[in-house]
Amino acid sequence: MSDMTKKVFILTLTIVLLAGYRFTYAQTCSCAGAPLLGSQSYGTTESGNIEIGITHEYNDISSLYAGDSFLDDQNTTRFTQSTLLEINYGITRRFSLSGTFSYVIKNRVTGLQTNNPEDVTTRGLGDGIILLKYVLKESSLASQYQIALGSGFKAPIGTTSLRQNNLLMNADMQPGSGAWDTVLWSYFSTSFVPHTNLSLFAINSFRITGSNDRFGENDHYRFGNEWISIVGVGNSFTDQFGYSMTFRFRHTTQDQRNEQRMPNTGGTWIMANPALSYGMTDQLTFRISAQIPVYQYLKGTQPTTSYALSLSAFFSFNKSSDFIRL
Amino acid sequence: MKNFYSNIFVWFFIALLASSCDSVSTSSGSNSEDSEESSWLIPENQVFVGAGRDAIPSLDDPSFKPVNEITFIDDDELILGVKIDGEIKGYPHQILNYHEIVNDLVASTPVAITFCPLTGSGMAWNRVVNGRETTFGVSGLIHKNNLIAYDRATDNFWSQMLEMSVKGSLQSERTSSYSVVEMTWSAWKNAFPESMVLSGETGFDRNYRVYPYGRNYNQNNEFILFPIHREDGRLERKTLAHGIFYDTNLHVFPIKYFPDQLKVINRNIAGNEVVIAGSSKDEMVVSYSSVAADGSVLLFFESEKELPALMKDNEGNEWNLFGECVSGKREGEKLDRLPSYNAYWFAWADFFGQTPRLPIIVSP
Repeated sequence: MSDMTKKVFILTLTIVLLAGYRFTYAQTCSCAGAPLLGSQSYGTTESGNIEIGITHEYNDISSLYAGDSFLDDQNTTRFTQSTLLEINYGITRRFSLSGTFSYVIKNRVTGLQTNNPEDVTTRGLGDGIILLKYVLKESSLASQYQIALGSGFKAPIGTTSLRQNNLLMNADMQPGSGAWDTVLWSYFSTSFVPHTNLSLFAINSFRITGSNDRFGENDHYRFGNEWISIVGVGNSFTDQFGYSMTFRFRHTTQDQRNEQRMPNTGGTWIMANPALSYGMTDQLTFRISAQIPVYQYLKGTQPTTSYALSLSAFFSFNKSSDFIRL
Repeated sequence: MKNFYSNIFVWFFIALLASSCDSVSTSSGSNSEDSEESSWLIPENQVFVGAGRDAIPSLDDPSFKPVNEITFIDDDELILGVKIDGEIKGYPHQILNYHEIVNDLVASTPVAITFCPLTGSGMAWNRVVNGRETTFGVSGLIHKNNLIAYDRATDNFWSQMLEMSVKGSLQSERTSSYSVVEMTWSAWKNAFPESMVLSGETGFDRNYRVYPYGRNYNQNNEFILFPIHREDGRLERKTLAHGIFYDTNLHVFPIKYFPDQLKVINRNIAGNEVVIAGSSKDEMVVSYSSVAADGSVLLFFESEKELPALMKDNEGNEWNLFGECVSGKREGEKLDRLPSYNAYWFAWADFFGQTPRLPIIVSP
């Protein structure tokens, strides 16, 4: 990395971080079941290339947990459907820009055991994430590993003002969060060509949340910080078909209102994500994947993911890239 | 071919944006749309959505066990109790924290026990509303951190601490209530060993040993879930206090200000003779009218006997925790209940701090 490039990267990173922190005191957010951070297609994009990915995820969040104990709750069901649009652009050989935008549908049925169910569905534009990525170490045949770092922010472009009977709905039914968050990201991958097509990769991301003013100007609600670590392995059956298996560790701290921790928020999850991919052409790839809970520990009592399914399509305007679409 | 795929993605993206309208759709087994269309009696901007309707499920088919078979309650946990036509039933906070409402029959009388964990207020309401027997459910709406219940016959929304319908066809109509006593489990099982207590076999899979609002909601004065509109710093926010109000006169008796041993106070509140009895050890305060059935004003003293014996009067009668005369010439008489209940101080101040007179804090 040249000194000039390093300076540009550090300067950009600083600006983005400062921008994120500047907004830290401007919000609140609820993203119940709506993926955003960690849902990107992981890699970096070559210079001049534009890649677009569209993912639709169905997340069944009907399980109820107290700590790590499953509670057999028959009173409430929930699901979230998210459509994510991810756009990646390779600015230079090392810099790329990634934007992820979402449209979210949330459904909640309550009162199933009191014989008076209420079925509520909300839908609207969700929040978006902008990440600037920098390839610290490029992969080559002689040294087949890549390291990339990134930083950015989650912008509260999502809807937070949906009302039911003229009353502002609770935060976990709003498509958006209302908060600016700072996002840090890192990526590592290695491959073993020509011996095998197998590749290993690891992604870490950290979201430092801002606060929202849902309850008033001087009343600050802040969703918990989020840490996601993903490790996985990918391989191909044929030139067209591939598979992957990833494990996702996710930890969120408790939400806070005016610096007081909110009950029944925050937790730790480990999910297994098996996925199959099909490269229809050099430009177009499809992927189907599932999310299966392996371990969940939730603070207090909370609904959480029973399972999730997603279907994705990725399109590269120029050519295949180093995307790991898993 | 490449342009074909590019076009597909571009059009998909445009379609996605075009469909990105925000909306809420609801369907429910609601009996009436009146409530949805009518306005609120309370400021609408003070009503918050805490959860979905019945997301906190009421207990509509509660099961009970004798005191000696109840094992999940710690001695210092609180319990609400009612006595109607000779039947005594107890409702532990540990279960009410998770369900807030128990639709029950006490001596064949339809009663709803309502409890708000956020304001610490518990009451017993008559379940006959507008001439029809109903059940109450948790609406999921919150007013000043307090429970708003709804009744399933008329779909009216009922403010617990205001004890009235705040939205719907019966707006401004008050609830009809029964006397409730509240005390520690330790005191209850000594006072009412023969009583029946709401069991943990509720039909819902919950861990009733775990407090659902964080480790210390009921003690941490800084920790309030929803905005407070009116503060009064004379007491700490989470001070549990017995409030008695006549019109605009609210008298508040902090339970921790009572001595460990039973203390009885005779007092005139807004021209009404009342008696208040409490013990901080048992976390129990009750209040009744001092006016007997024949119009005589009685003067009360502490009973030397153990609970449920409570007081004796200047005529030599003995009275129990439920305001019943158990010996003496007035045996069989019952003192009238007062418009009173227990709640955290922050809730008293938020609800009634702006009456023409500030709440009067009484230290025994």
